[in-house]
Amino acid sequence: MKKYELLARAFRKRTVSNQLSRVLKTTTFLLLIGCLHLSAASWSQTVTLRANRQSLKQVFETIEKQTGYWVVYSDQLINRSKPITIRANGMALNRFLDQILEPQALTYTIEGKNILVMSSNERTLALKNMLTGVADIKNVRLQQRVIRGKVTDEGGNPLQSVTVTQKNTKNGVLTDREGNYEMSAHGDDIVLVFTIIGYVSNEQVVGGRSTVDVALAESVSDLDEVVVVGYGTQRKRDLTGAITRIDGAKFETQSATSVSEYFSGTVAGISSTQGTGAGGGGSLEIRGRNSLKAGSSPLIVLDGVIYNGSLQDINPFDIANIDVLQDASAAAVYGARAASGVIIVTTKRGKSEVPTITLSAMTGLASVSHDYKPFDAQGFLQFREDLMNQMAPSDNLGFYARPDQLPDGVSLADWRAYSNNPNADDMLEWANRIRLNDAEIESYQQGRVTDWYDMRMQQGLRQNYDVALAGKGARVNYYLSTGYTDNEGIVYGQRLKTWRTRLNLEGQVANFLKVGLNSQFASQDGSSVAAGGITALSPYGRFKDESGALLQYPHEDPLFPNPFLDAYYKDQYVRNNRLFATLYAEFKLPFGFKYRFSFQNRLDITKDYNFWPTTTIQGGRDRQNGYGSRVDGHGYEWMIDNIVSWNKTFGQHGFDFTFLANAEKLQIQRSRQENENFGPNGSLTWHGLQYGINPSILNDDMLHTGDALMFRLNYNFDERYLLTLSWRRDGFSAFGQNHPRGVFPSTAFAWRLSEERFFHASWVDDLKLRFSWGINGNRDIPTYSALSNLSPNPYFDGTSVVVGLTNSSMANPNLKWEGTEAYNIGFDLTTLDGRLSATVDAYRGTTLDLLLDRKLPRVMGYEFVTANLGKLSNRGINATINGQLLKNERITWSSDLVFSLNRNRIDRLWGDMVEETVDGKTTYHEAPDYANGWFPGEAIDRVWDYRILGIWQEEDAEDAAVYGLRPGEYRAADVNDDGAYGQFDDKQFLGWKEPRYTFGWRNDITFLKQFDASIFLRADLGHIGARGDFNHPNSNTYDRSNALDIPYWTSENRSNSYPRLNVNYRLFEGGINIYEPRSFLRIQDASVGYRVPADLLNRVSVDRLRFFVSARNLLTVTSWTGWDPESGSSPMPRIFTLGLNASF
Amino acid sequence: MKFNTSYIAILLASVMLSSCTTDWLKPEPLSFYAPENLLVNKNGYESLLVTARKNLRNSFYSELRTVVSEGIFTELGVAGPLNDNGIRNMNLQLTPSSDGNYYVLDNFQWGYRPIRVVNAVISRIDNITWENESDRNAILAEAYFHRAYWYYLLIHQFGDVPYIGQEFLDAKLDFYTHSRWSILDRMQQELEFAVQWLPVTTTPGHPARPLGNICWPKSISRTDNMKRR
Repeated sequence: MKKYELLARAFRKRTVSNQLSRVLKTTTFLLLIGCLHLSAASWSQTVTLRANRQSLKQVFETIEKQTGYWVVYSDQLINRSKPITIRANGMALNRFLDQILEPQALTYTIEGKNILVMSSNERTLALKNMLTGVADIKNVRLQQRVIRGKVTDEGGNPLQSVTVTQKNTKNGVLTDREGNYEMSAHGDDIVLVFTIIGYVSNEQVVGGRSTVDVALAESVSDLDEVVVVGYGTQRKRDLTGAITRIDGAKFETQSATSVSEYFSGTVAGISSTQGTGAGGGGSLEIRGRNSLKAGSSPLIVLDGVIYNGSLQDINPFDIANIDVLQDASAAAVYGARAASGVIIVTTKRGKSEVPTITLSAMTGLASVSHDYKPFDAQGFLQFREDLMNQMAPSDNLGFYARPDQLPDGVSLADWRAYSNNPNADDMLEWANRIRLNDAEIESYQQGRVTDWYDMRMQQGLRQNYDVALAGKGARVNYYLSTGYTDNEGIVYGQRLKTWRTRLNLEGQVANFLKVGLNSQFASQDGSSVAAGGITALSPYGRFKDESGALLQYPHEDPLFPNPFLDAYYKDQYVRNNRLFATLYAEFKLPFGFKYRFSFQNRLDITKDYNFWPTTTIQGGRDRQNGYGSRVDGHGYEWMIDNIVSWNKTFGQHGFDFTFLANAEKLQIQRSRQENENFGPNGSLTWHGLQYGINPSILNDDMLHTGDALMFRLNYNFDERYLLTLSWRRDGFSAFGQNHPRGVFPSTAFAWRLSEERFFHASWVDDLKLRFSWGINGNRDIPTYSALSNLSPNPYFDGTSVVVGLTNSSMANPNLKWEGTEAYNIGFDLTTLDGRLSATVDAYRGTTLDLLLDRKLPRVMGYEFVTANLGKLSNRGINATINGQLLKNERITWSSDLVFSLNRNRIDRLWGDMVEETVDGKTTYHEAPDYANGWFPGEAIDRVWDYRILGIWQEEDAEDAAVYGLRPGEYRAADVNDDGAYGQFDDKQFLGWKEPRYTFGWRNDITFLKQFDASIFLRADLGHIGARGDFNHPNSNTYDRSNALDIPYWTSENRSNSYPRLNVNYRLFEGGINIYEPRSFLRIQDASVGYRVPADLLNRVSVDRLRFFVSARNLLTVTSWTGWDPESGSSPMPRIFTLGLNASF
Repeated sequence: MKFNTSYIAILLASVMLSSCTTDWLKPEPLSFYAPENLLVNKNGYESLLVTARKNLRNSFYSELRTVVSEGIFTELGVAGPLNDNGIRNMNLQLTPSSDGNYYVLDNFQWGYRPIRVVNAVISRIDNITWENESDRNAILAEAYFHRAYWYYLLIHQFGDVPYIGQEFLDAKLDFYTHSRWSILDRMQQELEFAVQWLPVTTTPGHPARPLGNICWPKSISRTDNMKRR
C-alpha cells in the first residue's frame, strides 16, 4: 500500500503547474501506472501459485505481490536453496510457507508485515541460546570438526572460488587460488556441497574423513548460457530465433588480425572468403547473397550498439564472445540494416576482484601455400620456340629449334641456310630467330638469370602482442587493453601495422543508476608499397643497373616496366586513425522498467599521401618530374539510442518488452590535392605539393541521416511456449523522397517440446522447435543515388581548362530499401546429459524490391537508372552438431560439425518479357540480362558459357576451319550446328561459382593433462571457376615477354585440355573460358598447446601460462591449378605461429 | 529520487518521438551539382555544352576510334594485330555484340550521349529569363549543331535510328526508329537556325559559323542525292 500512496502524493504535487507539456507527460505517466495498477490490485492472506522448478527467490516475489508482505532473507541462504515445485490454489500463507521452506531446512517467523526466513539450525540455536545459556553453546561448539581439501577440475587443475558449503546449513567457505579450502563443521552427518558456475555441483558425504578432495565435472549443457540478442540478452533456452554463439576463448591460438578470420567456414550459414593480404580479414556473407547491387555484408553490433566502423579495428584479443543472428526475427530489431544478418560482438569485462593482467604474444611466418609461376629460363626458351612456331610458322622444318637440338634430317648447315644472312654464332642466330632482344641476349651470353618470382614472394614475419588489465571492484568494472600487430604479407612490400586499444568502464553510481563507457581506438599504418606482378618479365632481364639503381625496364622493353619501382621508390603514407566510443547510462525505474540511454560516436580520420618520383613510371614516364597526391578524409558519425525495457513474470506468464528510439547522422569531408612536374627537385615529396606546376583539387563531401523506432515483445508461457513479436520503422536520407521510411515487422514462435508432460524420451535433455517470419531491410545504397548527379567533366579547349558538367545519372524519387522476407524453421536438441547437441535450421528468404541498375536502351543516352525492380530468393539448410565424444581424466575430445547449403535464385529482374521458341515450343518468359550474366530462374552465380569438348588437333584442321579456327583452338559444342559460335545459340549452363555444399569440422582434444590440440577441416564443394589465364589474352606481345608456366598445346604435345599459345578466343561471341572445379578440402587451422602445470606457476604467482604452435592453411586438397581455389587470382598464405597466453 | 528519473525517462522518450519528422531525412548534396542549381544562368548552360564539345574528340583521339575503325571496313586498310584477335573475317567476327575492340558498336552509345546532354540544354533553354536574346540563341544554335553532328554519324553508320528530341525525366523502354530521311530533314532545319546564330569568330574547341556552313550543305546534299537513287 505504501508504494501506491507515495505515487499519488507525487502526482498531486505535479498538477500545481499549468504547462501543457507537463499535463501531457503526466497523462502518459498515468496511463502507464494504470496498466501496472492491475497487478497490485488486492492483498490477501492466501497464495495461489503453480510453480514448476521455480527458484525460491521467484516464489518469494510472488508471495510479496499476492500478500503484500515483505520477505526478508539472506542471499547466501537463498543461493543454496533448491528449486520449488508446488501447486497452491488459495492456500493459506502459513501453510504455503511451511510447504516450501521445511524441505529446505528453512523456517520463518512473521513480524508485522515482514516474513523473516532463516535456516532451521540457526533458529533452533537461537532459541536454545535463549533458553539454556552459554554452556550449551560451548557444548555445541565442541562437536565441530575441521575438514580440509582441494577442489580441482577433471584435468587436475585447481579451481578457485568454489563455494564449499555444509549441506542444510549456512556454513560455507570459498576455495583459494590453489583450490584448497578449510572449514569447521559440526554435526553427525556432514555432507559437503561443492558448486561453481560452469561445473556440475558435487555432493560428498564426509563420514569420518578429515580431508575431502573433489574433482568437478564441467557442465556441458549451455542452456542457461546467456546469449546477446538485439538490444538485450536472453537465455539460450528462451531463444525463438536462429542464433549461433562463438566463444572467443576457442580462437586464442589463431593468429587472427581481424575478427572475420574466425568465420572462415566455422559457422553454419556464414560464408567467408579469407583475405590474402597482410591485414588478413575476409569477406562475410550470411545465408547467401541477397542483393545484386547493394552491399551484402552483415551488420556489426558492438557491445549493444550498431557499429559502422571497420571490423579490423576490433582487436580479436578483446572479444569475449560473438553471437550471430541469422534468421529474420532475430535480426528484425535492426530493421533496414539487417537483411544480411547481424553479428553481435561482445568485448571482455572485468571478472575477478583481484586485478588481472592477461598477456598474449605471437610471432609467425607466412609464405605462399601454392606456387603459380612464370617460366624459368629453360622453360622460357622452349616457350619462345613453341610460340614462334604457332605465331609465325615457317615452312622450314626446325627453323626455331636450338642448333644443338635439331630435328632428325636437318643438319646444322641446312639450319643455318634457312636465313639469308645468318649470324656467325649459332646460338646468337637462334636467339634472334626466337626474338630475344639485345639486352636478353647479353644476359644469356653471360649466363645471368633473374628469378623474378622468388624476388616477389617472400616469407612474411608476423608479430602480435596484446596485454589487458581487468578487474571488478565493488562498484566499478574495468577492462583496459592495448595491442600491437605488425604483419608482413607474402608478397614483397606487403605490410600492415596496427595499434589497437580499448577501455571498458562501468560504474554502479547508485542503486538505480549504472554509467559506463566502451571505447576503442585503432591506428593503422598501411604505408608499405607492394611489388606488382612479374609474370611478363623475361628471366634474362636485369633487376638493377651498374650503379645499383633499379632498371626501369628490366629487359629494355618499354611495355614491361620493373614492378618493384614503386615498392622501392614511391613515398606512400597511409594512416587510418579511428575512434569509436559509446557513453551510456542505465536507469533502473520502478515497476521493473529499465531505461538505457546511449550515445555513440565514431571518428574516422584517413590520410592517403603519395608521391611518385621521376624514378617511377607514374612520376617519370606518365608524367614529368614527379607526381604527388594527398587525400584527407574526415568522417564523424553519431548515434543516439533510447531503450526502454520492462521485464516481468506473472506466475506462468513472462513478459519482456523493449522499445527503442534512435537517431543518427554521418558526415564525411574528403579533400584531394594533386600536383605534378615538381621543381627544383622532388625531394620534399608529398610534404611539398605546392612545388609542382599543375595543381588540381577535388572535394567530395557527403552526409546522411537516419532515424528508427522499434518495439519488441517476448512472451513465454511456463517457459514452454515462447513468442516474439517485433516491429521496426527505419528512415534513411538516401531513400527517394517518396519513401523515406520503411517498416519491418517480425514474429517468432518456439515450443520447448521436452518440457511437455507427454514427452517421455529420456535420452533427450531438451528439444525446442522454432519457427519465425520477418521482413528485414537493406539500405546499403549510395547516399545520393535517388538524386540526379551532374558530374564534372573538365575539358581543355586548346588554351585553358574549362569546367564542364554532364548529366549522366537519372533521378529516382521512388528509390527505397530492399526488403528481404524470410521464413525459418528449426530445432535445437540437447541429449545424452548434454554431451550431444544439434541445431538444424531450414530457411527461405526472398528479397523484394531488389535494387538494380535497370539497363536502359542506349538511345536514351543514360546507361541505367537505379530502381527497385527485381526479386531474388535464397533457400537453404544449416546444421550444427556438437558432441563431447570423450571425457575422462586423461583425455577429452569434443567435436563440432557444421554444414551449410544455400540455393540462390533470381526470381525476376525488371520484367522484360520475351517469346522464345525452343524445340518447337513457344514460351514466354523474362529476358535475361546477358551483359551481367543474370538469368531469371537461375542463381546469381550461374555459369553460362560454351561447353568446351576438347581441342582441335592437327587432323581436325578442316573441321576447325569451318569456324575460322585452327588446330590447337577450343573445340566447343555448337548446339544448333550452324557453323558459328553464337552466344545465344551455343552457350549452356555449366555450373555454379559459389560452393554448393560447405562443411566445417573442428576437433578439440586435451591429453596428457597439460596438452591440448585442435584441428579444423573445411570443405567447400561443388563449384567451378573460370581459368582465364588459358586464353592467353596477352599473346599478341608474347614475343616480347614471358608468360605463366601453364600447359599449352603444340603439334607434338597434343593436349586435349589446354589450347595453343595464341588462341583466338574472340571468335567465340561473348567470350569463352576454361572452367576448373573449385572444390577444396583444407586443414585450415591446426594447433597444439602446452599448459604449464599450476604448481610450477604458483611459485612465480602466475595464474596461467600456455605455449602453443599453430598453423593456418596447412594443407589443401584440390584440383584447381591456379593460386588457390578460395582466393582465385591472388596467392594464399600459409601461416605458422608460435605464441603464448598468460595471465597474472 | 526514483520518480525524478522516471519522469526524465518519459520526457526524453516523448521528445524523441516528436522529433522524428521527415525533415530530418532530407538528403543534402554537398559536392556536386543538380540541374536545379546549375541551369540558372548562361554559364550553367555553357558547362553542359563543354561536355558536348569534348565528345567531338571521340572520333579522333585514343586507340582504335572512329577514324581508324571506319577504315578497316573499306579498301583503305585491314586490321593489323598479329594474333587473330583483329577482325579480318567480317562474316564471323563482326556480330551485333562484338566488334573486336574497334569503335563501331560503341558509336551507337557514344552518339546518343552527347545527344542526351544537348537535349537537356534544348529542353530547358527557356527555363530562365535571358538578359540577352542572342545569348540564348547562341547556346541553342550550338546545341542544334552538336545534335546534328551526331545524328549524321548515326544514320550513316546504322541507317534508320530512333530520333530523340527531348530530355528524359523517366525511364522509357519502347522506342521506334525514324527513317533517316526524316532525320536529315529535321537536321537541315535546325542547322539553318544554327548557322545564323553560331558565333562568327572561331575560338579553339568551340563550333563556329564556318563549321555550320560546312555541315549544313552536307546534310542537304545527302538528302537530295540519296533520294534520287
